[in-house]
Amino acid sequence: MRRKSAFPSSLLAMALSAVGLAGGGARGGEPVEQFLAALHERQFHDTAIDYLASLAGQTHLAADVLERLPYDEAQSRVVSAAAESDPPARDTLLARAEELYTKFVTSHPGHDLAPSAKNELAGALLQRGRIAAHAAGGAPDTKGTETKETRLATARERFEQARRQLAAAEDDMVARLDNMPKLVTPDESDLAERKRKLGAELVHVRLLRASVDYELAGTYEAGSPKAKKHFQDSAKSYATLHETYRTRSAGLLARLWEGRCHQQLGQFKQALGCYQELIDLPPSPDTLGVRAKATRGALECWTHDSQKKYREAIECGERWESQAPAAAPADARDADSLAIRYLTGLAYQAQSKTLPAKDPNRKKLAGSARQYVDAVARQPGEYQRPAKTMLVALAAGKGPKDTGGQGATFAEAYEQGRQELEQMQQAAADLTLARGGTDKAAIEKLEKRKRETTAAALDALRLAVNKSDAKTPLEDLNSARYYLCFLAWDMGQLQDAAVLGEFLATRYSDTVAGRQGARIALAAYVRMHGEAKGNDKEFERAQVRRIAELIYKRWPNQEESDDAALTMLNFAVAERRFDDALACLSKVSAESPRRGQAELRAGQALWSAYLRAMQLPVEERPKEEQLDELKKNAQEILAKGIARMEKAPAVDAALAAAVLSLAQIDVETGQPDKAIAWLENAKMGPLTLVKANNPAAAREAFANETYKIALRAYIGVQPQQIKKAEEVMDLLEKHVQKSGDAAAAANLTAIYISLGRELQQQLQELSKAGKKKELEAVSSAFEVFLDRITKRETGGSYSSLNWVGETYYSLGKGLDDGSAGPSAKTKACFQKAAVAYEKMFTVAAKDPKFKDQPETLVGIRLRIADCRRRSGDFDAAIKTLIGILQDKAARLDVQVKAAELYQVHGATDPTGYALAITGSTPGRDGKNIVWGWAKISQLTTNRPEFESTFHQARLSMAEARYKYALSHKDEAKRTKILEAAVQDLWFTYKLYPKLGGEETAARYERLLKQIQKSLGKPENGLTEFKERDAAVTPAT
Amino acid sequence: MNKRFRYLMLALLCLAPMARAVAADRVKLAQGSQSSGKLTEISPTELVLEIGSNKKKYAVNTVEAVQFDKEPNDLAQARIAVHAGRFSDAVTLLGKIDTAKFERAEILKDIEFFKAIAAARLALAGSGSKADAGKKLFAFEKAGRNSFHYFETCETLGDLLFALNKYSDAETYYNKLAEAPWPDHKMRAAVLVGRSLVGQKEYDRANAKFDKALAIEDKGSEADRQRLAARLGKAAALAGGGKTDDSIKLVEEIISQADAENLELHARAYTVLGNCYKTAGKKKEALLAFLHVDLLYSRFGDLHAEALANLATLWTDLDKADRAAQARETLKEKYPASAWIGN
Repeated sequence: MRRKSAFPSSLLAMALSAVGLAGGGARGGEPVEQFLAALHERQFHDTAIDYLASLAGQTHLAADVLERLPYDEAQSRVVSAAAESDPPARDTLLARAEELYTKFVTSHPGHDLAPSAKNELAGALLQRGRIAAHAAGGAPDTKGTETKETRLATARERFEQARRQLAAAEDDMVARLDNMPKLVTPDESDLAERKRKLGAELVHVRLLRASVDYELAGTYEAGSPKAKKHFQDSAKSYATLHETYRTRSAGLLARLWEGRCHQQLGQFKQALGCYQELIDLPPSPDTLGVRAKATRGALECWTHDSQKKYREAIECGERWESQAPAAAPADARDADSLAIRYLTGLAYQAQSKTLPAKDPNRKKLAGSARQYVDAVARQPGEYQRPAKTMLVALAAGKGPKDTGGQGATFAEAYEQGRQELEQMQQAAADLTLARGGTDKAAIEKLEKRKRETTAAALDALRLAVNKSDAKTPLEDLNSARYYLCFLAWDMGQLQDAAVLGEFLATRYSDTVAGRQGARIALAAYVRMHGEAKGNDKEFERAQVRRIAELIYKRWPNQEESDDAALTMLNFAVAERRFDDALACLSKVSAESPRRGQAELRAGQALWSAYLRAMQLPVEERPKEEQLDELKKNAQEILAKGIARMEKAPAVDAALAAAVLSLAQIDVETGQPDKAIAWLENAKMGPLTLVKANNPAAAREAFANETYKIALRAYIGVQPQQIKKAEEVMDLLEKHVQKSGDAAAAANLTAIYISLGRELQQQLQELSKAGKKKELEAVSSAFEVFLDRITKRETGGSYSSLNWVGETYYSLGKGLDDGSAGPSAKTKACFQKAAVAYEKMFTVAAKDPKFKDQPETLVGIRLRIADCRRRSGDFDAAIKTLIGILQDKAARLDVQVKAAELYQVHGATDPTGYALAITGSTPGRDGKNIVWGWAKISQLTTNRPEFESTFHQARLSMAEARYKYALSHKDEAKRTKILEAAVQDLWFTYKLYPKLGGEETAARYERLLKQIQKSLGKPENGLTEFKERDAAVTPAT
Repeated sequence: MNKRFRYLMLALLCLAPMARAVAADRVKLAQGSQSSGKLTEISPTELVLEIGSNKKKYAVNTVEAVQFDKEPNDLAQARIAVHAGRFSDAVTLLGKIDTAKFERAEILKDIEFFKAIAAARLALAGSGSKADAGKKLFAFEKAGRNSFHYFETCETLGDLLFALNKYSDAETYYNKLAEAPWPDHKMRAAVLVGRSLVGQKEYDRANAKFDKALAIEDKGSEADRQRLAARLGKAAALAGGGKTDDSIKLVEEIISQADAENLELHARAYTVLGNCYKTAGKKKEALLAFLHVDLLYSRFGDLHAEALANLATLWTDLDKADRAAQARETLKEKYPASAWIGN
């Protein structure tokens, strides 16, 4: 059975009467009391709160008005909370009320309202406890920070706080009463009134104290020893109060609650004893409330499954109904009257079921049941839904499906819709579970079930909305609209979802449906934006902004705004509008539980943006200051977000990723020690999480990235942590190979190569920033480690050697600043890279799996040749290339590289130019293994697929001749070679007048002008050829 | 003497002719006493009552009511209803009178006056057409320049024109009120002219008028009320001239000094305050000010209509569409002829 709240009373009336306490008649000036009362009466509770806030600090107000502002605001918040249907929002209101009551009591302990404030404070705590206890029955939050147990613990803590507060309030009141004269003379009416009020407050406090155990009992599992203990304690307290105030209304209330405690304990006999005593009270307006509650309680007992005393229940219900004209009007809508009617109806229905199907009384009893619950089904409240369900069941000869037909009423169609929705949700939940398995038939069946129930729910709810009229309870109508909105969203009908959601958000913003509608509308517009085709998404973008602005305005500093800001932040991030993303971040209040999440998201986005920007070619990159700003912002925001989120009991993927990013930033900025601290953090360190197989680190690339950063950090830190670096390397290889597929090795290689590139980029950044010391430190640190890998006996894996080679290669390129010639250090790097690649080639050549990958082996040997060339070892380089060509003579790309190598070598040995043209190394057939530019151009002529190679060869050949010519001191010989170079170009021109397009033609022209200059001719470039061509071609 | 007692006295006065055999006109003074006799002279400023062989003069501003010999009982009842603010009742009562049965011009004039004034008050409270009521009053003013109701007619005509946003025309009639020889009328007229000038955005001239009202030497609670009204007028003029901060300060001072029972002044003060805040772009504060009028002082129809029109806009701006709709609905329902609809 559902627990009822303690002492249901009109909070509005309480607040207004409390406001009236300080009344003292009309006075000039701001009419605070009247205005507040009028605002609350109009249900403008939020405006009442704003109004009181606006009065703070206004000097023209009377001192007594200013003094009690915190109290009045607290009262307004409590009233507002009573009208608020959303539990978190209600909790926020009550939490603030608590603060204000405390402030008031602390500032004005002697104020006449102080005891009342203490009382109210305890009341607020009790309410907040109930909210937490109620939330415990809901789903845990998505972040896992609040579970059922933590919520129940919160509830208990609040109830205990209330208990302490009530004890203090009681002591205070008793002391005040003791200080008042025992006897009050008739002329001391003020004193008498104060004494009376204080006495009434004291009774109220005592009743609340007794309720604490009742509330606490509800936070334990029903029937558990702790629950029983608290109910028993509460029953005892109420019994004592009943004895003390037997003849007063407080005593009657205590008796009622004593009965409720027994009822909860399953002691129905004792409970009914308490209730019966109250039911038998003489009917009068004063006893109406307590008799109604007792009657309700008694009906609950009799209709309980363990009792099934339907006859007694019916008699009691009938008796209540017969007294209705005097006791309660027949159309009473209060919760107790509705409950009595429902339970009486329930008893009738149950009683009818005990009769044989053909017994005429059975139908009669069912008719009576219908008569009782019909009114209940039309009124919002606890029993409305069960009443509607019962009506559906009672509908003679009609199955539940039939009640949703066109002739159905709103209530019937709505109830039908709800039932279909529940079934749809059940099907969806089952489907999620089924998809985790392999039973395709079950999945298909559930998918079908979900589709059918969704369609049925849609039909019924649409019908319900169509059938609504002025008498339809607005709450139900809006619920129907919200369900339609949700279903539209679920089915991907985004326009419908957005329109319905926005309608609810704008028209019924004070309701739960309004809040949820706003969320769906925003989500729908965001998805519409994502799904919009083409580049013009301005409409969708505008809608997203508009609805977000609406949410900010309507629910400022509330969960909805925070969620909207987070959505907008994600939206801005997806569109790479980082300034907007930061603006959204600022909209998430600092106190919001989502703030940390938002900071992590924003920080990650900025960091990703930085990394992406760094991948761009230099000329396309944003300015350096902008990049630095991006990095700095990312670091600051991530650090803040992490600081906020680390208090959470569990680490999620977002937090883990943020910590990894921060570690990466630290590595990039030359602070490996800090990076290691993050990586190894006992709670949220990425390394810790990966090693522990924490779900937060389950993302595919997370472990790889973690190992990469860790490797760089361990190597870069002073002193180096080689052992850890090796350990991480092993872990990385094991992790990648764990998949066991053919791509594993390639993946590992790719990872090592990317690691090398990242290192290269870091070195370039350090070099650019003039941080020579750091540059030196990073490169030296890596060398030490890489040498170790190269030399270790077990370190000869293909991938690790590839990484060593690639890293040395990257280091060499990073150190090569493009000045005169490579430094000794640069040369050393390329040499070491070559050694690593050679070892790698040896490993690969022995590995059978590379037999099917000849290209891979060629690639390694090409890289060896390149490293040798860059280290200045021409002979070794050309030897490597010839080695390849001996096996694969027709490899045009290798032929080109060999010719290029000769040409580069020409700078130090002019014969290189000649060999570049003619080729070298005769094979067994007498033909050169290395073709040279002449043969390359010959073989690529008239082959459109090799056009660029042809022009490269023709140009290089002419250039080789030109440079070769320049190396000759003999002028005649030089001129002859130069003219041969011109002839090379002329023949090319004759063959292809367009010379391969503008870009290539420009290169031809540049070279021709250089040659013309060396020949002492006018530097008119290709004009010479055009004129010559015109001269030899007869005019037609 | 409190109002309720005065109405009771007036009722007794009305019943008197049926009880007495002696026919007479009666003059009831604001201070409570009454005299019977024959009205021999009537002007906008003075009444002369012949009592036996004596002639007694009464300044019109001291007279609470005049009852004519052999007037219809419904007229007497309607007079009471008007004084009690039951204008609909007055209209009904006056509609029942068969004017063909009466020949005395003063009685017929009085019937016309009360018909016009009841219609005007109803229109000002939101019921009925202001233009139609204005026509009736205008006809009376034209034909009854010697009536002792003349100044009240001019003031009410001014009020109607003001409510129709015809501030210049309202000023004309308020200026006629200023021709009355009594300081309290002059003071009230200055305040009303000042308000009309504020409506015309002639803030300097308005300020001068309010200063003029403040400079008039008069005593008593009504004079005090008018002084506060003049200061409030100055606040409105200040706001109009862009000095919203000064205006807000002054209005708050007036509110803190005003008698809580002076509801009209409070209604006006919160209206001025609301407009000041609105001009200053402080929507929440403006909303609170207009809400005071809506929730506490809604009896002043035109001010209430103005408040509702502003609330409809402000609630919309503050994203409370349901409350905005509610305000708009109330405005249309209660004041269907208000100039504030559609503003």
